[in-house]
Amino acid sequence: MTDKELIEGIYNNDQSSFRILVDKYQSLVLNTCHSFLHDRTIAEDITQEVFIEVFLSVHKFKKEAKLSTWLYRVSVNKTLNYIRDNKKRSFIRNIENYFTRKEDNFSENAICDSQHSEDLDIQEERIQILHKSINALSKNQKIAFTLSKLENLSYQQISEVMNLSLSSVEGLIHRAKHNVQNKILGYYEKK
Amino acid sequence: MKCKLVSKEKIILYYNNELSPLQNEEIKNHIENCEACFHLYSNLEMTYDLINIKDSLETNPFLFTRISQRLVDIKNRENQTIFQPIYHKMAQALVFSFVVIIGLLGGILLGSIEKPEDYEQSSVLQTTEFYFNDLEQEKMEALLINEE
Ligand SMILES: [Zn+2]
Repeated sequence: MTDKELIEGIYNNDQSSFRILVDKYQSLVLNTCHSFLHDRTIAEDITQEVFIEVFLSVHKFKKEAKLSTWLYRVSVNKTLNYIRDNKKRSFIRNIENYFTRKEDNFSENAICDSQHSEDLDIQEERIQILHKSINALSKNQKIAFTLSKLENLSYQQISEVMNLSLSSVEGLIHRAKHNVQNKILGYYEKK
Repeated sequence: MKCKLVSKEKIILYYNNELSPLQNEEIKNHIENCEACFHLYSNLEMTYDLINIKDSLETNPFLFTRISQRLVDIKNRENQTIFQPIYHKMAQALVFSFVVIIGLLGGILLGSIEKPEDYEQSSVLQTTEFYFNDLEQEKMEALLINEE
């Protein structure tokens, strides 16, 4: 079944078309949400919401548009809205995590103080620093950078998702890369 | 640790291969001999390179079932909100007619308890009835406006 046939099927309330569409694109949606959130449970929740929106607003979908472009766009919007609405809550959760993690480390280190677990901690810290540096980007830089570097979309695809010119996308990603690297250096400058 | 000779921006340009060959060689030599710059450069490399690790998530086989369930819930909720105003209107109409009936019965009752002279009594009754009707009519209009 082509995407066009799937959309047509959903438009005509055909359950099996919707099931095929969900199976075909759930990896794309889930991984896109996850690359912004880095939290599997929340990414799964938002994935459900993305497909619900697709089902409910299929009549608005332009026939000449690409389904994957639409899915990327809905996924990014829903995820960023979630992050915006939960900034306060996640800030509190981060503080909680920070303290519980400290306790965990304490007990872990007491049991096995190996080089291996220390390496993992450093690696984990590096990943956190990278994610925080990406999160600090402005909205458009974050979208373009994440879709390019974490989701491997081409500049052409990103320009379609974001409705921007190719050169704007190039500029956004270039500036985002420098900003992320500058943030990373900022962390290690203090160390 | 901070280096006074080389800026963060220079290290970034060097890392991204965006310097001229001459500058590139200069910074390369500097980083090899400056502890602060080596610390920054090596940490930038080890951290930023992690962007290339792709962890593709496995999909959830129950996703479609969950979505279907949520769509059913949404439809049920929609149906409820469609019926709610109808019940609401019916209840309002009932209360309204109840008030009218009680008002009329009360008026008739009052009229039958006190019996002054015939002419006066009927005029008083008539005017109170008019006031009463005016009030009720206003209420009815307000009700319709509110409903719109
Ligand atoms: Zn230096």
